[in-house]
Amino acid sequence: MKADLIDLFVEESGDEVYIRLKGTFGFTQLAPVREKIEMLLSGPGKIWFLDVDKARFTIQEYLPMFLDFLEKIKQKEGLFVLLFKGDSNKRFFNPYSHIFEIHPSRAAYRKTGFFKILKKVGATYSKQTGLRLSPGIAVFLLIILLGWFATLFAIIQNQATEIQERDASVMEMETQRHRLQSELEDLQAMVGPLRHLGLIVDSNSVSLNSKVNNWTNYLDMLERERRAK
Amino acid sequence: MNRLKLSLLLYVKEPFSKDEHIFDENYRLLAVEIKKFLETSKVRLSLFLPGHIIEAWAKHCINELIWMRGAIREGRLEIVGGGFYDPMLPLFPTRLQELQLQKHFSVVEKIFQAEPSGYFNSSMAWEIGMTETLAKQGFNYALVSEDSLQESLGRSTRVVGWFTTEDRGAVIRLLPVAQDLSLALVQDYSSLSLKVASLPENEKIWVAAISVNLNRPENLHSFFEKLALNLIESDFQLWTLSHIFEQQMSDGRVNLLSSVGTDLGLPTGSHSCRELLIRRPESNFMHKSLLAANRHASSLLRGSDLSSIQNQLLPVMAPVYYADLYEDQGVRSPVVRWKGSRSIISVEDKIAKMADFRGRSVEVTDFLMEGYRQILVNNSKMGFLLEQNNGASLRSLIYKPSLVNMVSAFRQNGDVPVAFFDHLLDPSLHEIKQIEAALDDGAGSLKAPYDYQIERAEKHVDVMLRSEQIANVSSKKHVFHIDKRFALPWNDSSLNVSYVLSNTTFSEFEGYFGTELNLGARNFDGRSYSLKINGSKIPLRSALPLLYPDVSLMEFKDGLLSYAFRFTFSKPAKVALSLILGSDRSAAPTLVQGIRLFFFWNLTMKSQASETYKIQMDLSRRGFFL
Repeated sequence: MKADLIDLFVEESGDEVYIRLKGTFGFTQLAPVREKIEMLLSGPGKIWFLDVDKARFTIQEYLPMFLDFLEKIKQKEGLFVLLFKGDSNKRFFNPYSHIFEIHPSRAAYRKTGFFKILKKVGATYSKQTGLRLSPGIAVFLLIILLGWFATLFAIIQNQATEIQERDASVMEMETQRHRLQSELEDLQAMVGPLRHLGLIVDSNSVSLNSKVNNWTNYLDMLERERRAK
Repeated sequence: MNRLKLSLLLYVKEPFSKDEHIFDENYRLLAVEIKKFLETSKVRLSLFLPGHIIEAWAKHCINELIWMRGAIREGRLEIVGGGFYDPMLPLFPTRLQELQLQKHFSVVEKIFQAEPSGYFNSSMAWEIGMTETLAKQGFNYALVSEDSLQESLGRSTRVVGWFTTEDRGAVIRLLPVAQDLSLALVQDYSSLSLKVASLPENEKIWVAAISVNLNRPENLHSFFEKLALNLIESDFQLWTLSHIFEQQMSDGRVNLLSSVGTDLGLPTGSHSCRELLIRRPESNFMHKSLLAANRHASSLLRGSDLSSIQNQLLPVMAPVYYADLYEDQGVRSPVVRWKGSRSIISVEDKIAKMADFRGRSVEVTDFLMEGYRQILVNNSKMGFLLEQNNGASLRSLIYKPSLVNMVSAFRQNGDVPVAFFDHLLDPSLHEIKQIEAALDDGAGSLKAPYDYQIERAEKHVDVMLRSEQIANVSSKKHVFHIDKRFALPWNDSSLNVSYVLSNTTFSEFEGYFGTELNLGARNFDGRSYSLKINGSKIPLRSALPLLYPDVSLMEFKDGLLSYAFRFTFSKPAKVALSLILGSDRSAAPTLVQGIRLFFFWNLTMKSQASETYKIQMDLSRRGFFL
């Protein structure tokens, strides 16, 4: 029962699977560890955390095993994240540290940057939709989308400014109209008494239409006035 | 003849209650009697009270408390410190020990306005490793039993005075408690005077510790009257415990002391409270469950969340959950076990909620601390501990909505309780008593270790187990290859157990194959229990033990504890039902501790043939199964 020497913890939460290995792992545990972990990896999940912080590996044969795990997860289009912070594990995984994604803890992984989140979201949705995008293409599409949104925003902004200007102009003209109306009323009030005395004929109050209804009379009148002068 | 110098400690144990920390009227009576005792007898006294009683005094006995504060200032009363729930501290991790001590220390300081300088525990459980923790908390001395000091010093003569011990750079003083003198003080005067006369004459101050029994409040008044009379008649010089260090010099140093006192149900000659964990599987499981909850909280939570959870674990450290005693005094009581399990299950539930954890986990770890691993499987509604090295049987089966652990009793022969523990039996057994005897005998039990594999699927997790099992049936050895599988859906309260048996020998097998479940239960009183087999109601108390053929459906319901389970069989099974009986204070085993179920089938297998059996177990709160 070599497997009996392995301390193992598996926790599932949504698409995340967290596996923790504890103990000292030598040659005798290699086969059972491979068997147990492979079986766990064959189940559902999108993001796999393998916490080896409290595990110590005494032989190098474990490295190819972890590379196999990484390969299997990649084939499943998932993410494989190794979690540890100890120096002994840093030394152990050093030859392949550029291949593995290594973080001190799950919390630290979640705090990593925009591209990691994008990758995580990408992994989740590629599983759900079947669509696959490389990070480069995803960023390019994202830039185009952002460009579209920026242009649309600029157009809307320009139109809003123009509308504001027109509103201001309308308001100014309206004010001017009110002012002129008021001036006109003042002037009419001033000449009102004279008009009542019949000293002034209000050309405005005389209907031009009544005069121009008969163009012949109108022209005769103009001629008479001219001759009288 | 000189007057005998005596330091008397009165201590009280918090009575067990099914409810959470209710105020007991007896607490008020106790305060009144202690005040009266101090007033009338003019003695100097040391007193230890669990934290809840002190808190209850602060709310309901203000006058007595104010009087006692005055007595403390006058040097007539000393309050001794300890754990808030009076636990056997050596059993628990340092952090929990510290929390117990700090909580009690702060409540004494706040309510009595005095800092305790001594440490007392009613079981007098003490180990050298506690020195540092007690010294760190500011305690100057601890009380231990005289027997343990005698053993440590290699003396057979009386040990009186005080001693020092050191560990990891910390020192503490030890005061031996004379158990025989303590007992004599509450007996009649003639016995006491004989005991006093037998003590060696010296100038040392003897220490006695007397328990005040709150379970019999009617005797409280007479208890204090008798004690006061004995003290006056014997003409003792009485001092508080801390006064001993002002009056006397140290009597030497001791090392590697381990002490356990009384009231734990341990036999004479026991050296440590740890023996409870070996003697009682129920205590051991409670202890390991508490340690696991503390471990889970420590790994998942930080800061105030962690402290809050650890504070909720403190009540389960009370000695009642570990003592090998009956009724409501110890773990032999089904009610005590139920309350302990309930507390730990609810704490585990809170840990999962605080850690934002859906409770879907599989943990392979040495849960029972026995040197090999077990598999702990949890979903949001159920959990079980699988012992793959003990025939892949279940050591616990928890139904979370009702906060019950169904595998909480013991087996009829007093052994560790298990569920889905398999047997191959002789086909000539026809009567229930024969079958029970064969199960107790264990000759056909399939308990060889299994190799395991964990298989995760979208909606469930399976633990697959594989083993070659050898059983002795009808004086012949048979070898079977068994594939056993426990399947737990992630979001459902049901458990599927399946078996594939293959006869790997060249001889034909004929016998019974079955699986045994030892489930805890309360006494079958009233109508809250119901048992149905194939839809027919079976009267529990009168009909058991019972052998029932061709069962395809069996339902059991406990309306009071709000849980019910149903077994469905792929092939009609025979069911043997019997009660697990334990004794109370009388010798006769009459107290129902649980129910033993044995599901079995006739099995006739030719060489290399194989057979499949499936059992589905569904759980619900009210007995409605969808």
